[in-house]
Amino acid sequence: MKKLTASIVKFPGSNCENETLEAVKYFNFDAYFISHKETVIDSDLVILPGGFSFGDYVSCGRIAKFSPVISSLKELIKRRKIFILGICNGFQILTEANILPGAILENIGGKFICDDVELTFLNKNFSLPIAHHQGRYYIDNFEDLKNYEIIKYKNNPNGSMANIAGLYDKKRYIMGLMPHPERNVITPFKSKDGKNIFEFIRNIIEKDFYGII
Amino acid sequence: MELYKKLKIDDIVYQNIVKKLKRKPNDFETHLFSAMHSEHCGYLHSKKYLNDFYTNNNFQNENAGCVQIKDHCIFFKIESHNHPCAIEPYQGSMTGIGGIIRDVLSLGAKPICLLNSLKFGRIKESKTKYYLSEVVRGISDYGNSTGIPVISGETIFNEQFENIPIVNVLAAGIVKADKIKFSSAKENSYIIILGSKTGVDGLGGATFASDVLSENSKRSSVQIGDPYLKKLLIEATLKINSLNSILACQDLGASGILSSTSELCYKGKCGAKLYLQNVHVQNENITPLEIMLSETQERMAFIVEKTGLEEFKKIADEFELEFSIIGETTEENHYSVFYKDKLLADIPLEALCEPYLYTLKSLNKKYEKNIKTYNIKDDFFEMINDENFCSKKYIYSQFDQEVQGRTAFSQKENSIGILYLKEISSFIAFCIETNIDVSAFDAAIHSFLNLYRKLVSFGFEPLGLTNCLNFSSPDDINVQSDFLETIEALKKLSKDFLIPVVSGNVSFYNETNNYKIPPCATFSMLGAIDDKNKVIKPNIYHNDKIFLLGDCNCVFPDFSYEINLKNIIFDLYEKKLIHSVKTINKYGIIGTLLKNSLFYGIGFEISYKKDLYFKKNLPCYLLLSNHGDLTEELKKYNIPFQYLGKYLGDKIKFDDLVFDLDEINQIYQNKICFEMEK
Repeated sequence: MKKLTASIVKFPGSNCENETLEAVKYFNFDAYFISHKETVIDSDLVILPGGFSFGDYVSCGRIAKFSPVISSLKELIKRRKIFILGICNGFQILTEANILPGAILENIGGKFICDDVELTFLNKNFSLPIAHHQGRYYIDNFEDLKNYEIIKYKNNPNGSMANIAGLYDKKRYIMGLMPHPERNVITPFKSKDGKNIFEFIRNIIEKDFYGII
Repeated sequence: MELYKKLKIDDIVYQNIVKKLKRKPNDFETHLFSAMHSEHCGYLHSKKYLNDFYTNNNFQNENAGCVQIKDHCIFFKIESHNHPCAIEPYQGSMTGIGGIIRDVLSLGAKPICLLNSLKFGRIKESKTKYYLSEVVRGISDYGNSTGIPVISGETIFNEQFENIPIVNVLAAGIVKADKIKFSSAKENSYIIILGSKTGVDGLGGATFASDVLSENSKRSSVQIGDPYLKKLLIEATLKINSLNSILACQDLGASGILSSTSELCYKGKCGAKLYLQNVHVQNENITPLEIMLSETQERMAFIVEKTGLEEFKKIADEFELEFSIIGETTEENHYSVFYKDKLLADIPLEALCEPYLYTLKSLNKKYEKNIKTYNIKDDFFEMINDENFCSKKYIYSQFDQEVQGRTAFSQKENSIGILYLKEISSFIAFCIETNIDVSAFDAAIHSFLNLYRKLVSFGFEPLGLTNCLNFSSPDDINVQSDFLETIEALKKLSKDFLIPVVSGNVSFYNETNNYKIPPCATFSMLGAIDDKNKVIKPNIYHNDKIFLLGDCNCVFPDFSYEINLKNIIFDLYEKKLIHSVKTINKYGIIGTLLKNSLFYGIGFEISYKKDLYFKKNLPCYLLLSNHGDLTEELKKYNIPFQYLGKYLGDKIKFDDLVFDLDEINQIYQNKICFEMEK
């Protein structure tokens, strides 16, 4: 079987890159880090990991969106099939860069929240941890999301519009989510619920990119 | 008035300086002595007494001590940041974490977790709300963005801390045993400072932390943290410390450049020549003295072989961090400070680094046994309405407990943090505890034993201890005596149990003009285990039978009793006769069972001796089992045990009393949030 490849972008201030690398390796990706200054991207999957890119100064993802890697991704989406996954800070960067619609605002209550949350995605229920200060999803026009699959919170922790925890653009293969699937993959005594995200992504790439069924 | 008096150097300390120098120090030098011979840097009142614990290795003079597990070392230490938090709780708690992270980092260890021990006044007080929200926000902002999980902690609310919050933070790091970077310099090398530009923030922090707090305590004495810069500094330092040309490393904490460079050279039995005009500074108006004493955060000092400069520069550039070569190490044991060709100080390092040490007095205090009358119904309501009992979710949910992906069990209601470290294919666990409402001696014993039992209850072998001793002014003989009692207890316990005291921190002068904190010794213990099957899980299930194991009448159990209990528990678990073990918390048997009920949503029904329901610090364990006949099995061990009842239903039942779990849960979950939002 073809070994799929995943590159994980390290921004200054990223802090979830190591466990993200371990997690995608577990799902049989050939995974490696690339710099935020990288312009040549040749992997099937690109992950923008969690953390505080550039200290999240001004606002989360506001500075990271100007990184060369982001402009390269914008170009690449138009040219070839590539799966982009933004986790937490990565999701914030994707919305800041207008690669995904909407905006991510400070949590209702104004505090950082670290907790396990119940989620629903494509009729499946599972639980993943969240850890963010700015995770409240907002969009002006809900119509803009009609081509998106939505990852929903069962009990809204942060005031997100329509309980949105994450988005998946079926046509362009772009996913952004606030919960951390990489934390529930290989850590002993944790659930394996991260597979609901990573296995889904692997299946899509195999099927849509390489015709493997 | 002579300068040394203005700088609050005691006569006896000053005379000792003059004797060693064989002259009077000049003004610049007097300022240096005032910082280095402050309580905060010099441990004048405590150093004599900190050398006689059971220890395991030669890291006593390092920034943190360690326990070796397989081919790696786990370094850990607690530090207090009480004084800054009393003035500026947000910046104070941020930089407290920043400081303790650097201590671990300077040894070449990658920071893997944080714990905290926080003490505030009662929750209804507005001051408490301010301190609590700001301290927690500081830890949250700093710990979360540096990417180090806060895996456990304790918070105590008590009126004695209303004006002086106690903020102690533990950091732990891992490094391969042959990659440890020591803090002793070698001669003829560069002294380099990496990181932030030196500025005037945190000026005089060490002397400020060595005095009682007053109206005049300065905000400018509090340092300012930058977690983003710290994240880069951590990554750069780990990379730099892997270079062979780096001879030594030290963080810049209290008394900044002065204390880090002098200690590096003193430990390395060499000297230093510093050229202060070379230091990269925020503002050219900064004076030489300010450069020496500034406590600007996010800086590290390195001793670098002259041939290693290029590779050092490469890494600094990669992380876009500034650095400056501020001097050289020399063969003579002298500390010489120059500014634009002018020699400002020239001091033998021994005089600078070995202050006068005080001798403390012990009072042989007598304590009256406080026999508490009890009314179990009142005790129960008092407990569930006490913010100390209530859920601390308000606090711990603001901390990222799982970043780095190593956290197997985190704070939640477990009061233990467990990490899986793939570097050593092992689990490690940390817990932290302070006892305040008994004598200093008893408090130390209870904390030590409770931590030991907590680790055992999760299947862990206890391996090492660190401490943070918070007291009021040591000029008070009562405080001296309390301090000595704590030391005595810890000495005895560490030797009996062969658990090394790997590191420690002493914080005196936790008082204002009107308030003093009670003796407040915080201990934290590390345990390890290399087999996943030996980790005892915390889960409880419907119909679990509850047994009490141990001798309730045993007041101060000896180590053979404790080790025997530990072996029995490990044996029972291995034979699958029990599936979970609980230690008795500060609210006795009922408090312990109830906390678990609330967390797992299962009621309980027990009956036992009335006087023991709420008795704290019982030298016992609660065993949970669904085995058919545990009684017969327990008899074989020849140790007291008692069947108490079962976990079942949605009610709490004991001694004819019945409570609804849901109703208690409302108070339990919401008390602190409700008070904070008032």
